[in-house]
Amino acid sequence: MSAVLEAEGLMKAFGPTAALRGAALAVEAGEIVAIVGASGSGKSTLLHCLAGIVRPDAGTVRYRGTDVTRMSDGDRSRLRRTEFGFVFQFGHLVPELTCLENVALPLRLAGVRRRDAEARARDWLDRVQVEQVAASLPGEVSGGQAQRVAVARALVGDPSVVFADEPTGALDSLNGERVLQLLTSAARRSGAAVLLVTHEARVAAYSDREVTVRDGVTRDLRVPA
Amino acid sequence: MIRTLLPLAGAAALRGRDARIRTALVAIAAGFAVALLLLAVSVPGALAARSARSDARSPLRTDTAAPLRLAEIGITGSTDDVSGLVIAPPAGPAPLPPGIPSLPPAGTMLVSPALLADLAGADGALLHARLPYRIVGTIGSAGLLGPTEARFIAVDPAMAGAGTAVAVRGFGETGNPEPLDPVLTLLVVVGVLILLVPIGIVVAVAGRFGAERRDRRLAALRLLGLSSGSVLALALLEAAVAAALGDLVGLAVFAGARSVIGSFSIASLSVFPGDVAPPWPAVALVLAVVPILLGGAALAGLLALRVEPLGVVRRAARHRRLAWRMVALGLAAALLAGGGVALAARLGVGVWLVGAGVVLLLGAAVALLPWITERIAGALAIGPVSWQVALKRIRHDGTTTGRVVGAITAVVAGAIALQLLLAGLAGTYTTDTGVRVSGTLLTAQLQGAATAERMRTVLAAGGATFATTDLGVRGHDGRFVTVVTGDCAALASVASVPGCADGRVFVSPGGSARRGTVLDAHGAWRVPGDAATTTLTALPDGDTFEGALLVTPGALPLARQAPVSVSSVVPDGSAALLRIVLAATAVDPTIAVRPLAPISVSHRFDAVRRGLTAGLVLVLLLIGLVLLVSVGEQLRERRRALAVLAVLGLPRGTLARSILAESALPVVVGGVVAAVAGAALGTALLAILGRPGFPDAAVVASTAAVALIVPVLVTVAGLPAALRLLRPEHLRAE
Repeated sequence: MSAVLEAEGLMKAFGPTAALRGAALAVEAGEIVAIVGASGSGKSTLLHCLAGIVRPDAGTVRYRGTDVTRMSDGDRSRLRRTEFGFVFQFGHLVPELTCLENVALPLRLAGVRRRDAEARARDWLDRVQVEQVAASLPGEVSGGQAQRVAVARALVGDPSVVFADEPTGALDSLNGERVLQLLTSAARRSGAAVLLVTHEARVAAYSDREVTVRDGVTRDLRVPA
Repeated sequence: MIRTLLPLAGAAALRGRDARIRTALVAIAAGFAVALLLLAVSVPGALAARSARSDARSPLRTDTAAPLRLAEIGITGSTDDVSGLVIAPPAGPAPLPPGIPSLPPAGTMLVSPALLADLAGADGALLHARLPYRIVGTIGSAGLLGPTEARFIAVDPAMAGAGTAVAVRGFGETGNPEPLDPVLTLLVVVGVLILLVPIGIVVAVAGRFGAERRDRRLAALRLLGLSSGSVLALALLEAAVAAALGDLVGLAVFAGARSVIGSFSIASLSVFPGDVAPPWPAVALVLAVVPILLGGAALAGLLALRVEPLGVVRRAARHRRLAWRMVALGLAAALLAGGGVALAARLGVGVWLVGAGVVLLLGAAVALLPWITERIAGALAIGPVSWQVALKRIRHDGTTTGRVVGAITAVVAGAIALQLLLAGLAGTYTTDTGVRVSGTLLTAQLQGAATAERMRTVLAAGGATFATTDLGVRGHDGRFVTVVTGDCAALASVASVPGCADGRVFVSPGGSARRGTVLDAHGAWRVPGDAATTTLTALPDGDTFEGALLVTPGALPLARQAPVSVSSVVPDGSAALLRIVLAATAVDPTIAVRPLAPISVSHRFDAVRRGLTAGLVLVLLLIGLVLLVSVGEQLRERRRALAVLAVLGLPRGTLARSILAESALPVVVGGVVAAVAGAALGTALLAILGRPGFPDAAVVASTAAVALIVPVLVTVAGLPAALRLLRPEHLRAE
């Protein structure tokens, strides 16, 4: 199977601090990969470089064969809009939009008509079992519900890759488990690859394989089939 | 994309309690600025309408036979100044003053609604005694200068032979108003600009309300793939939504103010709501200014940032640069100097160069404020925790309070410059009236000795000093000669008359009447050869008649039909004023009553001065409102931070001192910057107008102190709210 996303020789420094020192990674379509490591190891920086959010100082990130690092800001924005989905620790929901509108937002930004976008968004809210908060603002729902809304938003556009950075970091264990179950099962059904940054072993257990980051260097631990 | 961004901008402005509160704050601040600007651009039209009303009812006098005889009457000393016309019943068809369908019957009068209310009020009976006519109707708005004007139009048969009555052929002057002189033009332009600069700053400050939350929202959208260009477009759309709401609020406030403006009068001046009609181009300009300012503020804020998917990043370390601020100051000085040279050469562009210099100087002063504040905060980095926290916040982002203090600095600097300018120009536009007594002057224009004698008796009984001038005496050249007639006590009140006795005559030098001159005093009369020379100090109204004759009744009794002027002064504070006036009115209902003032101020200069002062007060109130709003906004932004401090156990006193210190430092620095900039600007403007001098330190200090009370009061007012937020439970609030 060919890699949908692959990175080689990624180097990134923030001032005098080197976050990545030649990190490399390949993700196949529909694969769930956990990026694990201690705090400050560089795993979030790796995720941001892979998603085209942060431009590495050196190395390449290829999405379906195209070098993301050489793309313009506009092209990387389009890539995030049409091919990627995101679930971050604090949801990053737009506080002024209802949960339904938040989920429909990627579709609306991609040019889908409002009625169609909201119908698909409602379907996804139903799938992640928070259809009752559709009309609520993010500030009016619990942390677990907000994170499930974020999962729905990440998947509503049928992305090829979902980037999840500590998606359960702000949740209790029960809510965290439910969010992870929903994220991984929904991703598997839609065929999206998931890159899951975490420092928790129980989170990594939901992945197909683990990539460990230590001092900015990756080590791939393939899980036997 | 716009179809996607527009709902987002709308949601950002109106969705959720926080968004609605923030939008309301911006709309209120911008709205009041819009309302103020709309009122300002309405002023010329309102003044023109008032002038047109005044012209339309001005009697057109004539020396030939005319259909109307009337006297214009002014009454002071009652509830309001009352003015009106007393008209002799016309023999045939007669022109009508505006605002009435027909003249009332003899012995009756029409009154304005305000006078009707005065007559029904506490002093109504006394006022009625001065206007002994039955009320038969009201005067319409076409006949009034303003809705609170107290005016009457009476018909009185006594006017047919009254000395004060004049022949009138109609109503409605069509005079061309004189244009403002160059000095007043410059004063108006500079004054208006000085008021506009802080309004602009205030609106821009309002545009920064909720900026941190907006930045987080834009970052979240970047994560979802919104390009940086679209983010900019969205920020501008959000500003446009806020501006549209601000314009709506402004229009509503203006409409509200306009509807009630007729109920108020300031210094006896009132305007009809219909006269407050800003021209449409000006309305369009004002409504466009707010979106431009808010959009500009949003753009300026975003240009200093890079909105990335993970959050906002400042483009460069915040290090305020002095260089461009000094360049702006230098450019302002150059524009002022260039404007001065152009004005001296009578070039019209000079006014606008000076105006641009004023705006740039005020802008540079405001820009200097954070630079200086930051340096001082850096130099004072020692002291208690509260002080340290305040300094950290000031150095971190200048604080919202600091930004509003910038607007106050502009208005204070402008106010100081204006006060210096007005004080420097006052001498040019005021004249000494010659009046050296204080009190109320009563002047009756009478016909015949008997009436004059009755009036003198009434006035003397009331305790008023008086002088009588015979208005019917002519010299050999046919010109009238002023002959003041009175007993020795009366003459002594207007001249030095040593050895006065009945039968004596005194001559003041400078006129055509000399000893031995034959005058036509209703029959030939020779000035006695033994007439003493005297110097006329002044008549009660300040007039000094060069060459007047002072005669006692024994030397020249008033002719039976002589036109006579009787002047009398009732000293200030005299409880007898009303009684004297009422008694005098019984002799002459047209008697003029007016307070005496030693200084007469040019009407136009006075109008400009009052207008600018009122504008300054309104702008300060607007800034106070925005400051209050900004304090609320700042507290909302800091809610979580304050909750964290509460969790950490920060004492309330420390927080209170910190917040006060955070405001106090920019205020103090702002006061000093405003004082220096204002004094420099005022001095420069006076030099441009050819009146160089040093600024009056008292004017500078008092203006700065009064204006800077506003931020201090607002900060103190916001303290209880801040202390209420110092609670751990707000940590959960979103």
